[in-house]
This record gives sequence, C-alpha cells and structure tokens, in this order.
Amino acid sequence: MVDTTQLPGTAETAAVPGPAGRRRRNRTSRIHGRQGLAGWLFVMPALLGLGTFLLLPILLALWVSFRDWSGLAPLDTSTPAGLDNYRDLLVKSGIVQSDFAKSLRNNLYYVLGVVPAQTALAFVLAVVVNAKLLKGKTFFRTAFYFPSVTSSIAVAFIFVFLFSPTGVVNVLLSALLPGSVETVWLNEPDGVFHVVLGWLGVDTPPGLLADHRFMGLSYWDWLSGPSLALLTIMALATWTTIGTFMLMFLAGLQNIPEDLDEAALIDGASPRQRFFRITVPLMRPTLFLVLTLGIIGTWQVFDQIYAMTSGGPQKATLTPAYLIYRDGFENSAMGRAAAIAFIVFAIILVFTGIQRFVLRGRTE
Amino acid sequence: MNRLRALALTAVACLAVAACGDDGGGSAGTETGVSLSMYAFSSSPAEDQTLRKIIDDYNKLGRNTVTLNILPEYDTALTTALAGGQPPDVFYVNDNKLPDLAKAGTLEPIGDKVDNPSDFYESLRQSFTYNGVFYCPPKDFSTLQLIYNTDELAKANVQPPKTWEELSAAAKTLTKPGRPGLVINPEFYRWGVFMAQAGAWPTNTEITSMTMDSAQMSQALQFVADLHKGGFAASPASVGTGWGGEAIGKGKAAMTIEGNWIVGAMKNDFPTVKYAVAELPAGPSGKGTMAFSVCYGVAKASTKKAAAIDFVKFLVSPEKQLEFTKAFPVMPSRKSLAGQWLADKPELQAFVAGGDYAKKSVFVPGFKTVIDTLNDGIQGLAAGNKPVPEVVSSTQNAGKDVLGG
Repeated sequence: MVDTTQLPGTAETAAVPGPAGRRRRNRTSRIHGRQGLAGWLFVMPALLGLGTFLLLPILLALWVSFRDWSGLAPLDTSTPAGLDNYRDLLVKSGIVQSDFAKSLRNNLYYVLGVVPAQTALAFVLAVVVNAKLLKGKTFFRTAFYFPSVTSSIAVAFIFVFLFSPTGVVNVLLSALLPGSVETVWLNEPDGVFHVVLGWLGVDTPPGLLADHRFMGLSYWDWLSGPSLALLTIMALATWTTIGTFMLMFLAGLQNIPEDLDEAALIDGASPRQRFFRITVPLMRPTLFLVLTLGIIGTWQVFDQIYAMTSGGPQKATLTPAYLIYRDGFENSAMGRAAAIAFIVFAIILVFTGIQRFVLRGRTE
Repeated sequence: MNRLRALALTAVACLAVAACGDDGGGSAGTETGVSLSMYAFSSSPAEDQTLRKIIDDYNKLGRNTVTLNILPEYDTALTTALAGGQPPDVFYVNDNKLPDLAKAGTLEPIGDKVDNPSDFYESLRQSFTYNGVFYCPPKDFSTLQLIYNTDELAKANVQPPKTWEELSAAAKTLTKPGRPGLVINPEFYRWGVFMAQAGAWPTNTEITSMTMDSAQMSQALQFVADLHKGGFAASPASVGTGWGGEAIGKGKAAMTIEGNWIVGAMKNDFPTVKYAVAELPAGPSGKGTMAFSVCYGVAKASTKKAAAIDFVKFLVSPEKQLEFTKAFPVMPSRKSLAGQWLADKPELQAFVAGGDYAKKSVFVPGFKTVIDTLNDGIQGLAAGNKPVPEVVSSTQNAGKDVLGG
C-alpha cells in the first residue's frame, strides 16, 4: 500500500522514440541559439553569486590545502607544500597528528551521541505535538522550538552557569544523591569509559590496547569515550537542536494522508502497528533529511566549544572545526587548517553515504 | 527579446563593474596630511578611552589623521586584513605572535627608528626581535607576581612567602576545607615562573633546542604538582572561577599569580576586597617571573610608512607612554619612566621589580603547538592525572617537531 504511492510518474518521463524525438531535437537546437543565450544571461546573476561565494572559495581552499601559507601575508607569498599538510595530519607521527586524532576521536563520540539522541527526541516531541488530543499545541511547539532560535553563544554561557561547581545541576544532584556532588563538569578530561573501567579496577590499559597505535593515539585512548566536559556540550547541542528537527518531523507527519491511518484502523491495526507500519516508514524521507543535517552539523561543532572550553581541558573537547580555527588564526598554519577542512568534508561524505545505504537497505 | 538580452547584459556588466570597482590604491606621496588606519584590541574600557584620547592629541597636531579600529576577535580580523594584502598601517602585535608575523614578512622593522630605543627594557627588546632584527617598539608591559588577600594573610599571621618552602607553608596554612590557599591558572604563562625560579626553561636561550628534560624542569613541575596534589593549590576552574583574580575576589583563594591587569579588574569587579602585590618567592635558582608585552607594528605593505613611523614615535614618546600607562596600570616599556610611573602607585612596586629579571615568553614561529602541548600537560599535573615525566617527554617531543633535532 505504501510503496505504490511512489510508483506513478516514472512512465511519463521516459523518452518517446520516433517522430516526436526528431521534433524535440529541432527544438533543442533552437534553444541553443538565441533563446539559449538569453537563458544563460538570465541565470547569470545566480551563477555569478554561487560561483563567487561558494565555488571559488571552495576551490581556493582546496588549493590552499596544498600550500604552506601562514595566512599573515597575501596568498601569493605561500609556497607549494605538495601533500605535506595532509601527511602531517594523517601519517607523520607528531603533535599535529595526535592533536588531529584526538579531535577526530572527540567528534566521533560527539556525533555518535548527539545524532541519535537529537533525532529520537525530536521525533518523539513531534509525535507528541502532532497528537490530535493534545491541548495547548501552540504553546508546546513554541516551547520546544525556543532553544533553537536562541543565540548559541548565549545558551552556551547559560550552560556554563548551570554546570559550574556551585551550579543548579550540582545542587540538584546533591539533593538527589547521597553526599554532595561537586563535579566541575567542564573541567573533567577523562573519558567516561576509562572512568567506569577505573571503578571496576582496570586502571592501566591492557598491553594490547596500550601498545598499538592508530594516528598517534593508542587504541586505549581511542576507546576512552567522551569526557564529562564533552558530554556536557553534547547535552547542550542536543537540547538546542531538537526544536528545529522537531519542526521538520512535524511537517513530515502532517504530510501523511489521514486516510492511510483510517484505512489501517478499519483493517484492525493497533495504534502500535499503525505507528511502526505506517507512520515510521512514511517518515523515512524526513528521517533521512534530519539524519543528514544532524551528521553535517555535528561534524562542524564549533561555537559551543569556542565559548565554553576552547578545546580544553587537556584537549578533551578539541574538535576538527575548532582545530581549523586554532591552526588557521592562532598557529598561523592556514594551509593545514584548509587540509583539515577537506578531511572533515570527506568524513561527512562517508558518514552520509553510510547512513543513506543503511536507510535504503531497509526499504528493499 | 533583444530588449531583454540588453537588459541582462547590462545587469552582468553592472555586477562586473561592482566586483572590480575598488582599485585599492593609496599614494605614497607626501608625509603630512596622510590618513592612517590603526587596529587595536581592547583589554579594558579604560584603555580604549586613553588610546582614543592620545590619538585625538596626535590628530590635533595636524600632521596626519589616524582612524582607530578597536576589534573584538583581533587575531581573526588582523589575519584577514594581512591575508587580503591591505593591512592597517599601524597595529598592535602581541609578543607571542611576533615570530609568526616577522617570518611572514608582514612587519616593517621600525624598532630602532623611534627615539632612544635603548631605553626599552632589554627583555622587551628581545621579545620583539626576530633573527636579530628589532621589529617594533614595545607599547607597555606586565609581569607576573604574587597577589594575596591582605586580610586573610594577616588573620592567619602569614607573611608573603619569600622562598618555595615558605610558599608551600603559606599555601598549607591558608587552605581551608574545600578551598585551596593558592590558585594558579594551569598554563605555561603562569607555571612558567616556577621554571624560571628553578633555572629551567622549555628551550635554550637561542631557542634552537628543547631543554624540557632537565632535572630543574622536573623539580619545578613536581613542586607545583605536589602543591596541587596536597590540595593547597588548584586551578581557577576547579573552584568555579574563570581566573585567579576572580578566585581572590570571591574568596575562593588567598593567593594567586597574575599580572598588572588584575589591578583594573579588582577595581571594577571586587572593589571591596583588599589585596596586595608581592614579588614571587625565589626558587632554587633565585627570583624569576615572565613579562608580557604588546608592540606597535607598522605593516610592510603600508604605502604610508613615513607617516606611520611618525605616529608610532609619538605613541612611544616618554610623555605619551606615561599618560597611556597612568590610568590602567600596565607599565611603561621605557626603563627611565619606572620611577615616575611608581610615584602615584607605590603599592605596585613588585610588578616593576619584575621587569629586571623577567623572562620573555616568546619563542619561534609555529611554537604555539608546543605551548599547547605543555599546557595540556600542565592541566594534567594540576588535575593530578598525569605524571611529570610524561609531561616532560610529550613537550620535549612536540618541541623537537618544531625546532628540529
């Protein structure tokens, strides 16, 4: 029932052979003439805009990533660096590589935590707000969307206060838990997996994990889990983004024809069945959009890091996007910063590809 | 159809013209009547006000006209202007940024072109010297010293410590349950004073090789790490504050290590808290502290260098330096002005004294990654989750990547 709705339309677009085809060719050649030129001229402003503000900067950045450029003098003073910037980041062992590896590790945990959380919560909120029986829908919709329209820097500072040693979070936890909680959330660099293993008595890494390294970090360090500082930022990111994604899910939910639901009701489907067999499958395009935007957004996390931790404590909240800023503007290594940007670009492509593959796999 | 095409062509032509409209010229020409641009960052509203007044004074002389731009996000703005090839004629240069700027060839060497350049403190001259060239005259400077809450020390009957042993003892005495006696920001630009006092430093004097692996370095790091381990010292963040001044102001510590900037901050934020400045205790190798400075750079790409130099000369003239440093207490970079500067603020004597033995905190281009690594390690020492040898070796290795060998 569901799949047939997507079928019509494909037949019409198929090319029609025979005389009609010849006529079309005639028409195309006319379009390539005077009208074609006019067409190009009409789209020229848009093309110029896109070219100037999108394509050129990207190509320039790509070029810069193969140069040794401090960013402190015009670009023509830069010298060719070949693949050195990429080599320093990916292959050559040293501080540059291990910093980049740490930023990748941190961001990986960030993505794996934030994307599922924000998607699931946004979906649940959208379903709640979409419920026919809910009173005061507008109020809830506004309330849930509110964090998304607030300036991220302002929200970041509020979170700094909430999670300070004497902040609301600690007061609340102290009230709920035995003893007093005095965690300095944003100053905790240790990965939570390491902390939990520490409680279980595993303080030193097993030899296998400590001895093998990937990109300058031992396997043990790769498997540290996010630090409490990073988890705090992850909570903030989830809280600020669910509103936007809730709106997208809401739009998707309202696009589902009501008769489908009614038909299923008549067929005797339970609410649970209707939700998982009708609503969820029909929401797949929206889900794809939300996941894609979520992955892109989380791999580019910068402002909260900049405002709250500057990559610290002990590089536990360093992310590639923050590293781009640090290398480009503080360390005067603009070429390397550009190289990081392109590696992150590749990572985002891979992640989106994987996610597309997974989502498509279920339809077939 | 034709009319439409003409219209579209006009539109394209307009866009093209708009894109190339600014020819970015600028004439070298005459020395007077030139309009100069200046970039600065702001450390306090008081500084902004004084700087604006001094620039007004210069403009009134009628030689040239200076337009001041005070920028938040200074590094980003300056980098963008330099990369675009149209930098401001005169701009603030932070000492730790000097090697990168000098190496990139963006600075005109004007250090010796101002009047009486030998009057500047030697360590400041060195801060702004790269490859033997003194690039720009220092604007003013600050040193790190010990800041303490006078009431608390008096109540506990503790004298400002003069040696490491006394510092340990004082920190111990002033520590209360859940509150350390001493708060130090966990970064090289604070902890470095203990290195200097122990006779250690991350690199040799010529900055050609790393010297992190010396016994003195380990001794210095271990001393501060032990203070943290015992709970007598802590980072500002771990007591819920942003920096040492806030910790003193909010009573979260009795002592801290900060520079001249603390004076203005305490006046604004905690006017009722009584504090005093003492020289830092001497270590195994005697007294030691660090100096931080900013200079007036003139852009090599500027087409108005003569006028720019004239303006910088005016800014670093003794009388303007005194005026500039009077209101908010950074110190004049000219040694000869120290006495006059101290006349109305004798309580800041310790900061001035530091000028004689302070180490410059400037290294070589690209050294920031090494400092980042050292800071990373220092944070670990403060938090107690990294041992000294690990910090030493990671910084040593990071430095080798930059210095080679």
